[in-house]
Amino acid sequence: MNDKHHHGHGHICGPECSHDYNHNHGQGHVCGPDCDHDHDHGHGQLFADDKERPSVYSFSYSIELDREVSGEELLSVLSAWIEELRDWAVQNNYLVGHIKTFTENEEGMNLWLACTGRSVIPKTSPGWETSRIKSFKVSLAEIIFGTDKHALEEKTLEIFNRKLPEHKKV
Amino acid sequence: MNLILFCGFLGSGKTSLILSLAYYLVGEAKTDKPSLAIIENEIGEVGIDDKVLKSGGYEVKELFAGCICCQLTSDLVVTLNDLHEKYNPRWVIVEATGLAYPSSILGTVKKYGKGIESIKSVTVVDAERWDELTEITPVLVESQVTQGDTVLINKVDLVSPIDVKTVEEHIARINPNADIYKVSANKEIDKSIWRKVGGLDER
Repeated sequence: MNDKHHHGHGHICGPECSHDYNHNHGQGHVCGPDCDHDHDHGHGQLFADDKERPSVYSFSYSIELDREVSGEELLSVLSAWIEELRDWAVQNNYLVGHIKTFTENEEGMNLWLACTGRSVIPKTSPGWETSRIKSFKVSLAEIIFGTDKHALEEKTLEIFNRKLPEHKKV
Repeated sequence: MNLILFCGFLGSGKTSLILSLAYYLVGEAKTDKPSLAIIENEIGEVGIDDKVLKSGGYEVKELFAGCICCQLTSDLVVTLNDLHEKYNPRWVIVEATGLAYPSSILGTVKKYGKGIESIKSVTVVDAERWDELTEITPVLVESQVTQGDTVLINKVDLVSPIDVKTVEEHIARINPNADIYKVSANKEIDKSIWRKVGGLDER
């Protein structure tokens, strides 16, 4: 049996594991450069069952719009995207760890959206609202407990493409 | 280098508070030498907080696609030691992922970090989600609170004073040795908190 493997967050070491599971990083063991075991650990002991395991999804896209919009319009559209994603999670009884986006326009102005299952909090750099935007770069990072990565990715992109119909990824 | 480790659950407000602390420390440094660097850790392959921190003009080193408490321990050590050798800034702020166990990170840094003069651990707690998170992930939340030299109860403007007091009392029971402060990252932070976290009163 191969004991060199990656767990990722969520794996619970147990007697059925082929590697030495008899240590716990959360309670004292520290992996260092001289550790003789070559695997990493998750935080499985955090979660009582599969529904409480985190799914992680992130992307970064350069977007070109068919028409120029104001920074305020783009803020509204991207906020609506995150709000609908949050609502989907809440309606399915998933726990939103966080949903975060960072958007930068051609002039280097930026918009930061953050949500933990309640309000979507926007922060903008000076001049964002009145700036005119034809292309921008948007990055998203989200961690949601209870769903799987595939469903999370699918839902995230489906809402994004619906909220922002006149665009192409470049 | 004086290392300041920020831990706390996802969405608790670590990045906003680090921006405030970094702004204060750089202002206090009063030197042209590199005074501050930030190590940003994200579980996902794409980071957001590093972009926010870079937009504030800070030197940011990224450790992505894993957690420095378990998956990226070696990467953390290499990054810290590289910073020491090349820049040796006065402060290094490490922002852990919201799922990190601080005890593991502190153990790694103490054992393998070079040129580290002091280590302070700051735990950020989300007052708005305290009840929910202590119910769903009690082991992690308690571990994060236990390891904090300083615990910042954030978002106190979003909950009632009675609820804030309940959170504060719960935290004091978990970690009676911590300095506990109530803050709102959207408002100005009391400079005496940042002086203490930055060790400025110890010189």
